[in-house]
Amino acid sequence: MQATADLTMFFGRFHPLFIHLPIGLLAFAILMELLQFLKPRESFAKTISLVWLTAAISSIFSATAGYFLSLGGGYEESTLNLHKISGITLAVIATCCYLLTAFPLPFFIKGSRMIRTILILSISVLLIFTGHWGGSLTHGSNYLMEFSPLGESGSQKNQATHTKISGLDSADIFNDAVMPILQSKCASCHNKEKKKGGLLLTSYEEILAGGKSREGIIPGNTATSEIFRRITLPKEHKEFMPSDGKKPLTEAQIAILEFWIETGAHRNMTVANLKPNKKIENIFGDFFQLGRAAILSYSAKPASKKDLAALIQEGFQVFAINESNNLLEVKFIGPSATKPDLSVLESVKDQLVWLQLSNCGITDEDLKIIGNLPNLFKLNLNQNKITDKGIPAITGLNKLELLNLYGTAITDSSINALQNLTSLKKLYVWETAVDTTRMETISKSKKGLEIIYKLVP
Amino acid sequence: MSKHLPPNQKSLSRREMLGICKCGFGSLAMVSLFGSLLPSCSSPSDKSALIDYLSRGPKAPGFLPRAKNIIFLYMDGGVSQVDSFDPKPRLEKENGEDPSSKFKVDATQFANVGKILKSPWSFKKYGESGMEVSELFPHIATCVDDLALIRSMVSNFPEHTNANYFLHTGSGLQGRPSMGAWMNYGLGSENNTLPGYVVLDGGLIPPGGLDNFKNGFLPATYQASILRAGAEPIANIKPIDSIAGIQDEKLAFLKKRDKHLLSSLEGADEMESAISNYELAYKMQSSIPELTEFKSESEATKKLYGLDSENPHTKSYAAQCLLARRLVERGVRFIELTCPSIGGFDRWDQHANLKTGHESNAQAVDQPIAGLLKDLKMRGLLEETLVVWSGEFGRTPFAQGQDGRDHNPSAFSMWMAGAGIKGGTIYGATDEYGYRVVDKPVTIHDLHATMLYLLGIDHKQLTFRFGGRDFRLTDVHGNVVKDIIS
Repeated sequence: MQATADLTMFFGRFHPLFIHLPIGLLAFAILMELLQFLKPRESFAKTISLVWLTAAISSIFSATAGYFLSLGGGYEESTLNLHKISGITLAVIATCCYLLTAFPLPFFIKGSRMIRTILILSISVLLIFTGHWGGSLTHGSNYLMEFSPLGESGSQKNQATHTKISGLDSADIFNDAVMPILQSKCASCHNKEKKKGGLLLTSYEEILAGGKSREGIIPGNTATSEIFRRITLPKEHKEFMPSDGKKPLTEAQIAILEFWIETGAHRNMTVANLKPNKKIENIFGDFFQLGRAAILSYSAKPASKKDLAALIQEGFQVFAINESNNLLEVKFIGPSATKPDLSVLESVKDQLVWLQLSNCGITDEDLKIIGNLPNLFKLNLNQNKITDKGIPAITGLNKLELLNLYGTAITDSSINALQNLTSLKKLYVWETAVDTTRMETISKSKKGLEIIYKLVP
Repeated sequence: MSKHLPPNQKSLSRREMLGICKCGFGSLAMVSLFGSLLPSCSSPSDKSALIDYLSRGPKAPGFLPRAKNIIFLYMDGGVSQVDSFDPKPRLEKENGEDPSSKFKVDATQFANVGKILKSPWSFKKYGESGMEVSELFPHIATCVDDLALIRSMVSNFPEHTNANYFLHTGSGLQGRPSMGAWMNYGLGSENNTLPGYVVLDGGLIPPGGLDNFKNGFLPATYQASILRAGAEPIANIKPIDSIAGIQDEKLAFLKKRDKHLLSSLEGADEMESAISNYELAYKMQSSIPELTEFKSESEATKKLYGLDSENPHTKSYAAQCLLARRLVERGVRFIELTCPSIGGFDRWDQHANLKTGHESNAQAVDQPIAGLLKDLKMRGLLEETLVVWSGEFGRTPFAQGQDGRDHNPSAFSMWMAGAGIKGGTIYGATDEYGYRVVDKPVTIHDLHATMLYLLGIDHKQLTFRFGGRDFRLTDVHGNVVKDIIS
């Protein structure tokens, strides 16, 4: 039993290969019939029956292989039935077409030409549908339309949620991480149509329930979670998933699944709530493309020539950040040069995202102008005579991710004011008058904000 | 000079290009590159092309540059990977056994294959990442969470000179432009009183000589300027004329004659470079003394680097590291540090006396390097500075003779830290002996491609037409090692 089953399965597996032969031959036969219909040619008449014959034989062959393949199971029933019936019908009609071409009915039987025309038309239609159903069985029902401009696509939806995530405290571990991973790497076989191994990976319950063999996920236990075991086996192992040489999960994807299972396989829980360590945090950061995403999603109109000329005239160095977003970095580094007139910066406030004014005599008064540059992501004001009086002027810069104030005269009260900067990720306050023990407490309590305040020996 | 008009910048003439470059030793390539940084111009007549460029609409999609400067800590001679960053317990177990009974031994440089040699130093885990570092580098070990360690480096050459050319220029043969020259060609310098490519000579010019630091077929302005350690870093840096005005007049006259010659030649690369080199040299008479004067540095900072060390080599390397930071602050694009000359030991190249040799070398560089990393970090400079630590190849896990190690290009370790680097990462792996790479090999071309990527340059776009074809630093190779980039 085992041996015969293997042999039929072996033959069945050739179905996806064979199938292209009858598709091509049938399409070619239809084309020849069409040309013949438009303008009969003597030479065509001779070859056309040979084309039909080979098309018919290869159709029968492929249909047989397809039948054997279907015995293996794991396909969605209704689509499989449609594909099976239409495939067999196709083989039968192709045979009829050959017979009608090679052995024409006696001229006195009316409608023989009509019968042939109907058969050929039905072949054309069947060919399209059978092919589509076959494709749906192999690649999943949304394969064809996934990237179509017409349909709403799954992957686009995933990407949309991807870009929306602004931090680990707003990222849901299951819906934003686990599900997209399983969708991209596993769902082409474990979906409603195919259901390989009885495993469905389209909802939380199904994922936990698993397939025929065991439960898919045991919360808190990676060792006994069948899904996790399968994806972490050696690649050569016959139970390794994804099977058949499909793209395996990346190390980061596996680490995310591992973290999810170990922390209890929650259905609704933000990543931040699960308290990942730094390594896992980085993995999630990469996965959600955090960190650099904000500046890359911002762009502005190009700055005017007049404004740029004024900046350069004033002695600023002006750099393009990259070519696609027209954003600018402006730099002025002292101490040897005299301080430039900062008011020219306002004319490029839409484009200005990085501003470096290190060690060049910036005062509290100047910060009022800088506070009016709302699109700054990075601001270096280090080694200037800035005090607590000036700081409130820049606390409205809500895009600011990096602020360098090392070597200034600020104290703890500035730190309090700076906590209003909602996007701030890095704050440099080394060699200032801030209290280091207080910085330590703030550093620990404020996740997502790194304060660089003391030298670690 | 028409020989290297970069593609897709026909709108800018060669003359206009030099107009931009003149005022900041800017880049010739930048206008055609994306992700480029542009130098500012001081004189109004020179800046129109730059303004045109900046005010143009969207161009090809680019990516964000992470790094602006690179400090390359060159570990001349080849540090032994199994004694520094790639622990191999198996060497301990099989110490003294015959290596050819364990694995296939390649031909070595000195054909004097000894027994398997365990590391004389023990390893310990450091930091949150738990990266293992040997006793050789106790200071660098405190920075592991900022390092991305690549254990799977491979080189094409088992011999110093070729391996040096390969590491520095992307080709094992003499004569290609050095990576520092390429990077300045690509991005230009941000400082018009200092050169964009500086080599801080600690006393050892690596095998292969100055050709490691040359501009090759790139314009001569892009070659390295070499600063020596000591009182006079550059020859003739002190003006000979006691009255400043006299020197100015002499230089102005020279410039006038040079320009005259240049116009009759209709532009010559060598001539143009010579003129700009004179101008720069003049500016350096004031910028260099200011740069090499450490008065403004606090005692704590000096101590951090090890400037107070009793070991003269530590002290000398500490001064170089501090100088490197000061160059970064001033916008110098590419800085390479060569090793200090330690009498009696030939660089890191310990064919014998591994223990004493490696220890002396490590002692000289360990604290200054850690000090540099920490100082850059505290000042926020590590955000935009990439620090690269590497030798030209590794060493064998078996002895050469009794107590040395021979060259091994099949595996070595290097690390990067700073701008855009994912700290605490370990990338790639070697076999159980540390002899060959078994996972994710990284070539020198990959290293160059990654460095350029971090600067915001696509290594495939940075080309220069010479001798009838477009050349690249990475030739036809190179893959960016994205896994170590944050």
